[in-house]
Amino acid sequence: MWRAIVVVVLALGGVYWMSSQFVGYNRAGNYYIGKQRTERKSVRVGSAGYYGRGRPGGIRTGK
Amino acid sequence: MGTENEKTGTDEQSPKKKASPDLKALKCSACGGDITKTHRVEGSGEDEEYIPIARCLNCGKEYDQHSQEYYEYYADMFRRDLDKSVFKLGIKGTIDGVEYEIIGHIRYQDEDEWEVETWDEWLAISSEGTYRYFVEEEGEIYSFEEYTPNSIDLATDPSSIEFEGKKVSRERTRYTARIVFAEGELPWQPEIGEPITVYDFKHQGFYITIEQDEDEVSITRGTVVPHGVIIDAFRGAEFKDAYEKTRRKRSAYAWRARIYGIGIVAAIIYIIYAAVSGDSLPDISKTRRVLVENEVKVEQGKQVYASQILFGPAVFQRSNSLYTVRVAVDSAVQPLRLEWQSFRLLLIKEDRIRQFESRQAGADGIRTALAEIDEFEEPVESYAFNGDFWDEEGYDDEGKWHESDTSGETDFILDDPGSYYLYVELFSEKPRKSGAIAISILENVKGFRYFFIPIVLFSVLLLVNHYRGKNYNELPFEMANH
Repeated sequence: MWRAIVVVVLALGGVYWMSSQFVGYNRAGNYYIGKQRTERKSVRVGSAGYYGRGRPGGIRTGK
Repeated sequence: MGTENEKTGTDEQSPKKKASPDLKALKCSACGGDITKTHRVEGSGEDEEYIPIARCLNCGKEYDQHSQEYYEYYADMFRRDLDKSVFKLGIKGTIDGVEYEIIGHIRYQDEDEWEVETWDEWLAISSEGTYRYFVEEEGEIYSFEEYTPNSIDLATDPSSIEFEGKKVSRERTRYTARIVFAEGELPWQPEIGEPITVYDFKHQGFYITIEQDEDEVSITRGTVVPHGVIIDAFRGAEFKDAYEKTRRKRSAYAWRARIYGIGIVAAIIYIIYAAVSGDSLPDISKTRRVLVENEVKVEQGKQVYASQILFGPAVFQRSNSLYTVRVAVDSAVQPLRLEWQSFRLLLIKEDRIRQFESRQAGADGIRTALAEIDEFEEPVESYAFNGDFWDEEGYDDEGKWHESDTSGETDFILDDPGSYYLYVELFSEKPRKSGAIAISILENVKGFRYFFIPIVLFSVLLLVNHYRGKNYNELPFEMANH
């Protein structure tokens, strides 16, 4: 029984910690700019846009 | 359950005859031909069933579970696991201060089932000469004794029985039991395959069994008896430890299952709490600046309508906070009907917009700069989010369908708090009003995406432990959980 309690506490505690630390969430601001800067140095992108769609999600061009 | 003493003329308290489990030769009762085991197909498609039968190779006569011969031909099938019982012939034990000895054993099969669906009845005789019947069925033990009801009427109503003032439906309680095995000393000589009409029902907290044939009626009344009581009485020396260990283990597994259940509930509560969390930032809809509206463009041979709208600025003042930005079609302004519209939302710091304004006055400067936003070597935006809205309908084998998705949202954290504009580029196949786009922003949102992982994990562990809590067994026979 104690093992189950430990498993529950650790699992819930772990995911709470991940959520409170925003692990895996999108990061805007300086982090985003730095990442884009690196990408743009290696790849020049075309104009952005969505044109037409065969199904939900569309056909994406540009960034 | 019970006895049929009058039929055989034996003394109820003096079972003398020895039951004979000997098989008849596997010959057709009609012509004496050889019998083969085969099956009969009933139903079709998903309901198709292969019903085991016996068939005479000579005359072709078929014997199914409604015939007595069937149980002789298939005797082996019904005699499996005869030793997997808490009882055995000859053992003695004391229950309620009375000593009993197990002297007889009958196994029954439900005639309506062609799969093995048996239960065992053990006949015990007390030192005082009274009988007790222990029935083992699906891991339960029931103890029955002869019972004389205050009133009973089996004859008047063809659809029901009157039992101590209670009407009992015959249809719901009646079945035919077939004897498939017998051993020991029994009050009558059972035959393999012998049918017995039985009514089983509950009355005033007791299980009542009425066995009826043309000549007589036998009534017994019983209750469930825990395995612990039977083991203590009859086989304590052999099974006491295994029984106690089984109970302890089952209890431990059950507790684990409860703890994982509590974990699931806790995770769900957190998800609900997090899903409604967040504080709305002031509405920025009124700050809408339409830079371009429904400009016709031809891309990849297709004509599309492009719009550019600037919202804000909005103040994102928290660095240690999860933000949610939601973009949606404002159907009150213009519904989306059998069309699509794509968008790209860019989060741009107020300073950058001001720079564009200073280069060229007003909206023209911003429009010119934003039209070429992807050409800047230094990224202009601090965040980007793509999505699209759609509304479609069509026909499939279930008829007409209509589906749509008219909103999209994104979560992000911001490491550079401040004042930001939200710049939205829109593309659509039909002209769309620029006012038909709504944006809302939440801050201080609680993330919950990872909480689905423990829910899945705990669900698996709960099921495993629940199963073990019901089925863990160190005993050599089945024991239901209480």
